[in-house]
Amino acid sequence: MTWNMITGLVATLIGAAYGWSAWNLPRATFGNPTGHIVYPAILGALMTLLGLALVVKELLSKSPSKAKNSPKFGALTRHGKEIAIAIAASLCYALLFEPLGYVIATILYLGAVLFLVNGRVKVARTVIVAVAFSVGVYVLFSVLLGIQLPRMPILDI
Amino acid sequence: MNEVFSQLFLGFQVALTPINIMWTTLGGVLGTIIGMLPGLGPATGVAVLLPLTFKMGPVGAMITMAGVYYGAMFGGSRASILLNTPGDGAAIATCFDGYPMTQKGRAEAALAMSAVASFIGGMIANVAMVFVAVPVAKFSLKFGPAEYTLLMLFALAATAAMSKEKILQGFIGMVFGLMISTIGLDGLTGVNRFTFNILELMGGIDFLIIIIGIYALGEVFKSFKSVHDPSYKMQTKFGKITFTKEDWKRSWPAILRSTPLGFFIGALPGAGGTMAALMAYNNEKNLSKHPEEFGKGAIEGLAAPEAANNASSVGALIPMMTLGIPGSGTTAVMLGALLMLGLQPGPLLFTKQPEVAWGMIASMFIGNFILLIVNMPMASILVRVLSVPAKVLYPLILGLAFIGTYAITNSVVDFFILIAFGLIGIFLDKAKIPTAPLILGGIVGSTMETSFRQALMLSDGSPKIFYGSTVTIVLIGLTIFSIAWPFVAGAIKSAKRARKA
Amino acid sequence: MKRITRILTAAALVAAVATPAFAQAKGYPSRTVECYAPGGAGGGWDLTIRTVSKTLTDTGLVKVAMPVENKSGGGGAVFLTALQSMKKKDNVLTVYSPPLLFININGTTPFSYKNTTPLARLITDFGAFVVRKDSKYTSISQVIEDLRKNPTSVKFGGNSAAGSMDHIQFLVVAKAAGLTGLKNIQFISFQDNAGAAQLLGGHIDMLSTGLGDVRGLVESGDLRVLASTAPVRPSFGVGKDVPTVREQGIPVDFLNWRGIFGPPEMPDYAVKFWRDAFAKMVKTPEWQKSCETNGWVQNYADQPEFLSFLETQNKLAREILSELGMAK
Repeated sequence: MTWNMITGLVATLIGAAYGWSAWNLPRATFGNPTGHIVYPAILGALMTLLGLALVVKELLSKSPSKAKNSPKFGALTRHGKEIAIAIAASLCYALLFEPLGYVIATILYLGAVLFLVNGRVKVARTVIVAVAFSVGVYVLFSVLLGIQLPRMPILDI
Repeated sequence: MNEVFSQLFLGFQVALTPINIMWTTLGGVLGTIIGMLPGLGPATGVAVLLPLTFKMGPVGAMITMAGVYYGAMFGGSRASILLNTPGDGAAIATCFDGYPMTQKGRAEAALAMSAVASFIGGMIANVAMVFVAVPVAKFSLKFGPAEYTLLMLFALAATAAMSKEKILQGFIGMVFGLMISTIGLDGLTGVNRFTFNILELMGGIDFLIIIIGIYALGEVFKSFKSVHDPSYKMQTKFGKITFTKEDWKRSWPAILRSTPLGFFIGALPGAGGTMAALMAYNNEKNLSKHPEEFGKGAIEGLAAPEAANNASSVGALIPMMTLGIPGSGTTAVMLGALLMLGLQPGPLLFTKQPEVAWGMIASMFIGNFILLIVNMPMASILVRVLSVPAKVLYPLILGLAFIGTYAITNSVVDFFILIAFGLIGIFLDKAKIPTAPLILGGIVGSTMETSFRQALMLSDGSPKIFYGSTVTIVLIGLTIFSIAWPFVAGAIKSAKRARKA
Repeated sequence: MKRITRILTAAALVAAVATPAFAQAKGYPSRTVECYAPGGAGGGWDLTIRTVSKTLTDTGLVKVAMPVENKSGGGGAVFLTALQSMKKKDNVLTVYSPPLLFININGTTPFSYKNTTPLARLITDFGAFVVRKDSKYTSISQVIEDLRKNPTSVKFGGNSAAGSMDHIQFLVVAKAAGLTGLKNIQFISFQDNAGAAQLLGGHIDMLSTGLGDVRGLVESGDLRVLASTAPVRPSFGVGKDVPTVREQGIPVDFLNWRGIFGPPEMPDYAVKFWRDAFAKMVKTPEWQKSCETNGWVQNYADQPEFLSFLETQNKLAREILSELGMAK
């Protein structure tokens, strides 16, 4: 399966789902009752059609010269694992950001990502960079710029 | 005319006092630094200054806030060029050719050109501000809902035509962007659309977060492939921050064309720097003799949006200064600050407090010079970020992306949106879907839809409102031209080639 | 439900008596007071709370720092939700205005003003119905008459969403003037405060907005105010030359009030301190000067009066929103 095929299928699905939920939006109680629905419904239909058009185009273009233009699916898996870990770490970061406060959450997060990329070598550098960045940004924002960041729960600084 | 000069002279007398030169420098440098950080743009910069403005007095406050505004335009492009991470929305078009230049080892030329284009764009716009602010403000009032609808359509048409070979993918991206812009509370009916009962989504998704997600996060995730590559080398030798004669020859017409465009788009309430920069970029690509080089490091593709976004930051001050109407998020904060200081921006500001209005305008001339001088050595330091090992740099970009997102809305809900768009960024890259139509769709979508519906409410449903005024007809003409032109130009080219052969 | 509330109130009272509030009250406030603006920087809420924080610290009425933080989203509903997790805190203050009522009535949030501790009403702005200087309208009654004949004949808009401030304040007046079928009157909502530019450009006939928001353009003569929703003309600013809707025979007024609120179940010693502080603050020359520069009308009301005011305003807003079909 090629990426163009996937794009076409995903677009069709998104278009249909979006269009369907647009159609099911609550009607407005005053003014034009469907004023806010027509445009998203059109967008949904358009997206579905574009997706289908891409699928059809992809099915028709079987000649080898054209296949080169469309990147092959499967290229993602090679580094998929690292990306998946990084995303999982990012999600944890989002969840812990407020409970742990900016500095601790960021040290943990950056530490994790740096460790992921660098492995066991240069652990000292990983730790120094993570701590320096977190504290530095906190000082820059909270102290110098006056933009409040979530504080550490116990120390309350 | 004489009066204008005497007023401007008064302005310079105000702006050239040591304390005000200090405020100009401070504002400009602060703006540059804030602009460099992903997510932090001029609106945040001005908001940061808000508590301090009490102590500055009206003139100092105006000068400093204006400095932050155009300073952010200087700074915003730094991260675009070096890291493919736009500092703010207006700097996104700078990524398209700025980052490819860096990849080719031409970061120094890109940084130099960006500063010079910003400077020229800002200076010409300042002159325009002095002489044509009032007529431009009057003309911008002609833009009603119908005109806005067509303006947005024009912007979209130009982008769609940009990606000729991948036209289907381009359109899919554009429609996706338009879809995202429908999320949130619909002002005309008070109905929430696609918010899934999440309060934070009611105000819509800030498009800057999407840009940071797709560019910064996407870029880092993609990089996991290259950082382990032993042949991957970072830049260790750096040249002078300058560009060649050839670069200049290619760029100056682009700068001169993009400045008035940026200035005028900026002066339209609700349009803004992002749109100005993207339109200038499209414009140059359409007019270029070698459009195939765009996106691969064409220097004029960098110069055009840089000139346009600086010019737009000057233009955006016009509705605020002459009418007392905030035309952008940044000027809305500035207006708030002025009210707190007891100033009333509006038609009477120039007569009642000429020292404030003209002092600020004069300070912008000085500020542009200062920023040009400051930016060159600053760039030679910044470019060294490329010598930081990728294994350290890329994780730090993640950290910056999150803090920038938090600074926009102070809400962790946006973190999840950011991560989602990081993933979408990988997909777009793998599937080779152009990102520019998606971004522009997301930026103009909401204005286009509401303007369209507002126009029909005003005309009681008659479509005549869309072709009933001179402005609408001109915009329709431009839209048709911009869709047709790439094809016409292509045809002419092949005809010429045929004749030669 | 009512009984539960009563029991809870009783329990809270017992708790309040039982805890050594006196010991805590001594030297209160001793730590940083967190001030929140439920909207973005530069907006009405933001300017109000910043001015309050500055005035209180400048005049020495409060000796600790009062930094302001912006928590915007959902028309104020995001922070209202966050406020629920700050229950019983004694060092949190925020500001709200009529949208606090709307977001509850229209179902945006289950929380209402009852889930806060109202402390004092400080200021008001008034609604203003504005036209271009060359408009054919000279009074609000003419607009109402045209709407009575044909509900889409007057193109009017505002800077808030439909079903919020600018929309509601006009419908309150229209209803009091005896207009029926409020649903059929079109309201054109503009984003980014573009309303005034749209009016100046001749794209709409009338703009419903705040009196303070169009000061500059009214003073310069580019725009004309048909009427304000003030009960009586304020003594200074543009408002003093503007007829009220009452003067034009429509017996109603609409206040864009702004008041200070604490978190739910704010401790008694803190409530007492802040009521006292605001009572003193509104008399200071610093505060009076700030009101003048911002074009605010002082309209101080202590907690009991503020509470009953909120109750009547809530009822009024519910009536209008029900008629629009927007009340949940």
